[in-house]
Amino acid sequence: MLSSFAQFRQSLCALACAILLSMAATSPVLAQDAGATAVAAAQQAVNRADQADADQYAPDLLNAARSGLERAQAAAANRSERRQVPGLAARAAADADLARARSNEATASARLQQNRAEISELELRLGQEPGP
Amino acid sequence: MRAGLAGGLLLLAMGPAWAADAPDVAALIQRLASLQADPAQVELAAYERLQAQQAVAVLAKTRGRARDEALFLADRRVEIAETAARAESARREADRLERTRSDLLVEASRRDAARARQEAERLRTQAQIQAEEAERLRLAADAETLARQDAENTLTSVAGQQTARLTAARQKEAQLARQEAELMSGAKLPASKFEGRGEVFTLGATAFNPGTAKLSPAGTASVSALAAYLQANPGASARIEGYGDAQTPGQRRADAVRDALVAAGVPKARLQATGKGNGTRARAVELVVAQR
Repeated sequence: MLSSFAQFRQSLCALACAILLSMAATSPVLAQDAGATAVAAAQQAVNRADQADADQYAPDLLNAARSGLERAQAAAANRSERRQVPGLAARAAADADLARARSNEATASARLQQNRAEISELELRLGQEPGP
Repeated sequence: MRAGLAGGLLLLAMGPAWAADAPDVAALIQRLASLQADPAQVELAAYERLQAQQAVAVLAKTRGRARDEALFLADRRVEIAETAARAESARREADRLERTRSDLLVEASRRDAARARQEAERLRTQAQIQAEEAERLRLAADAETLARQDAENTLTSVAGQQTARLTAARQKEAQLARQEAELMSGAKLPASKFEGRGEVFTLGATAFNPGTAKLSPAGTASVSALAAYLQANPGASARIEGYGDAQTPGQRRADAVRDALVAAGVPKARLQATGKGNGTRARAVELVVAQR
């Protein structure tokens, strides 16, 4: 009775070990989580670049980011390519961030130029006229 | 034990050393450092710079096949940090200029307003000057009218004085001629008065014989005195106007006087005889002497 119980405990131990082993074997699940986070971050980066009018000021980079994101998403769906997902997503996010930064720089530069032009025009006008 | 510790320290010291030895990593670190070295940009794009630093740190630790990927990411992150810092800097400068532009716009509109005020003031002054000029011209015209009236009055009175003087002179002249005539003829001239048509001598009914056109002795004397008067006045002509009564037409009395004057030597051309209506006792013939 006792011995049979002990045998049962042994099998229980073996079962627990098997479960633990199987959990260890599912490390790709953790990798999948990391990949999903990277893809989501890349997606966000692309969205932010889109909102910053990168389509207008850095279209090549934004397109590269979009296709990189698609490749990352496709890789995430494919078990054999899953390991490439974080790298692909990081690259896409970097492309999107650069596109956004360039777009911001172009916008700010245009504004700066416009303000400079208006100021020099105003200064010319005010400088030419005799003060009251 | 000691040797182990020394080896660990050596490894720690070697860590940054080998990272610095990789030229690409050193270049990226240098780029990040120059971003931070600029005091104007040190607080700009801090998040992007942090990401770049992390990427460079990852690159420094990565070996083998994954290193190319890490190098690409680190390079890109550094570029992102640089670009973001430039964008931030440009945005701040644009903001600053926007304030300057607003100040200038305010100044410009202030000047516009001042200019508009000046223009309005100028127009107002101009209108005032024009109104004053018009008033001045009106006063001048009034003064001129008054002056002309004064001048006309003066001229009129001058002319009146001249006329009066002339008349007085003529009367004086007539007076002298009268005295001369009375001395020459020895007879007395009939009374005369000056009227608009000339000096008028009136012969009464006693100058003629009653009921006839024949001169009486008194009439003959008067006519000879008149003849002398006319001869003393060679520039004068005489119109003889005869007034008749029931028996005698005025024309015949006038003719009688004219004939007597011609007989006394007055040229007939200077004489003109006409008949008028009925006379009275005081007026049978009028002789009007006028300067030709």
